[in-house]
Amino acid sequence: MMDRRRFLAGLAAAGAGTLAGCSFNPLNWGNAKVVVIGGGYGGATAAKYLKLLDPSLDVTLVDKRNSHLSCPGSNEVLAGWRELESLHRDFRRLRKAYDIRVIQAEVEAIDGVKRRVRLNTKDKLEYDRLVISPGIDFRWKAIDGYGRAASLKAPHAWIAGEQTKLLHKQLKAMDDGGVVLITAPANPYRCPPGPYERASLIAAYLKRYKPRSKVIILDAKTQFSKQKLFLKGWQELYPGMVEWVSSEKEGQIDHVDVIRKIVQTEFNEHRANVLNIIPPQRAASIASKAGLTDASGWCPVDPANFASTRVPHIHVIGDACIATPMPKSAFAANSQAKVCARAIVEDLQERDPGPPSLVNHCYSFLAPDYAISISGIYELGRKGHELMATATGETPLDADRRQEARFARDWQTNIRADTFE
Amino acid sequence: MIPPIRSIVPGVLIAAAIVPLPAAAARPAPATLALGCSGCHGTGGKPQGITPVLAGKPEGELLRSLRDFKSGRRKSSIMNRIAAGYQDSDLVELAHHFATGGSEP
Ligand SMILES: Cc1cc2nc3c(=O)[nH]c(=O)nc-3n(C[C@H](O)[C@H](O)[C@H](O)COP(=O)(O)OP(=O)(O)OC[C@H]3O[C@@H](n4cnc5c(N)ncnc54)[C@H](O)[C@@H]3O)c2cc1C
Repeated sequence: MMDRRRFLAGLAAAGAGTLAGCSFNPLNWGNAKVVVIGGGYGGATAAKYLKLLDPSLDVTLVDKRNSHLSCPGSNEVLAGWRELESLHRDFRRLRKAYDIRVIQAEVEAIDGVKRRVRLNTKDKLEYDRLVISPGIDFRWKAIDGYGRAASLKAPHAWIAGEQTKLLHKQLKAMDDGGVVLITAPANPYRCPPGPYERASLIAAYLKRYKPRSKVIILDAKTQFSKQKLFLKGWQELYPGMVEWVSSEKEGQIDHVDVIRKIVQTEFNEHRANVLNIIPPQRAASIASKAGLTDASGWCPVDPANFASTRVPHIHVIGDACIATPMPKSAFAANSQAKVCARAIVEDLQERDPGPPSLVNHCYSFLAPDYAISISGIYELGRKGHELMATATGETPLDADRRQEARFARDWQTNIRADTFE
Repeated sequence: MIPPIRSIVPGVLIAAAIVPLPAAAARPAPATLALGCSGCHGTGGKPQGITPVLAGKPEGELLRSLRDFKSGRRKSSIMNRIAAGYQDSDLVELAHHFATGGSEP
């Protein structure tokens, strides 16, 4: 069968002029319109790879900000060895090198029937395919006493930006001997090892400047990602400084008082000098507004191409989608974006993209020269509508942590380039 | 834009639904497999830093490395667990893809 590109080339050779005046212009076929919402790790990668795989596509990327602020790397800001400004990822290369139209605006509504996106500028964008990678929002009512206003006193710092700065400022202002209390949510949430990397890097800062202080993690879970590796690392690097408290011991959080910096659990009361609440999460609000979420608050998709199972012609990738057993990570969002982009390109050309293959590989720093990682390789399960891991693993307990740290730095550079450049 | 063929020829869909699955499920296309590598090894297998370059490496060398990582003959804190997730036929395709530049990134 002749594919669309060859078909179009043939038409052009026959003389495009003969097409003038046709009510139905086949030349438009090659310029299918794809709109991508969200210029984070999922969305930026999707936009770039759509154009890499088919330069004839008309691709528009919409983000409410004029650059993306990377969460990976933001725990290092708390350690004091990185400036938040270094985490800005602008869209210049996407615009210039890949000819992607980039619009700074907030998407207010998606009309899945008319295939139209409405922006807060009142402009409307039409699409043949829509990819959305809007990230997360917080469930502000999940923890009694912790709403949006409370987060200005006790930051979550789980979307990088002012919140990261606020937490950093509070850490710097804390007296030696203080307690930093981090609460970690139940699964699923953005970046499963993130709270423990944060505890490590706050400990790195405290060890140097306020060595009598402590970090306590109050967990809503009974186990956590890379647990053995983190526990071993804390013992080696920060003996007695990091304490992890399982929900088995404490029960769930009952109430938070951000003024007095107290967390009340079912069985106990914890006082902190700096309080970092990482609340339970859901897909960003535009996803639920568009009818893409299910009762869990996340978006169900077909993992073969990340098409929404709820609204046709819309694909959801990144933290917002349900891709179990993949974690919600930048690495996973980037991997999903490529599979999704390729599936869209193949489908628009009436070819079968075949089954997906996905990867996750997440590093956590415990110190500048000490990192660990977790990885997973994923493909379609036997039933064909769920992913399964064909291999998972962590840094071997006896492996060289310095080497892992070097690879972790490399990853930051390479994922940045693969996503935004 | 026209809708994909699948939805305008309903018979195709119905036929697909009643045909039993083949014994061995299809493997992901080489280009799809290769997309998984770029998260660390860079777009098209061209990374920066100490992460190994994949693009343009001799096919035999790539395949030997991948197989040795999968079997554990060659030790790596990372690649042993990554290679373990792929079938041997995938490794053959990946080595070929990166050695020849592939037709897609
Ligand atoms: C502290 C921390 C450390 C982390 N470290 C790592 C790590 O080391 N490795 C790793 O792999 N992952 C890490 N992560 C996880 C990673 O940040 C996320 O998984 C990743 O950002 C998800 O990508 P996404 O595209 O789904 O969403 P995001 O990257 O959050 O992007 C969403 C984008 O959509 C935009 N947007 C949302 N709604 C709208 C709208 N209505 N209109 C317009 N634009 C909109 C936002 O402005 C944003 O730019 C970390 C996370 C945290 C919090």
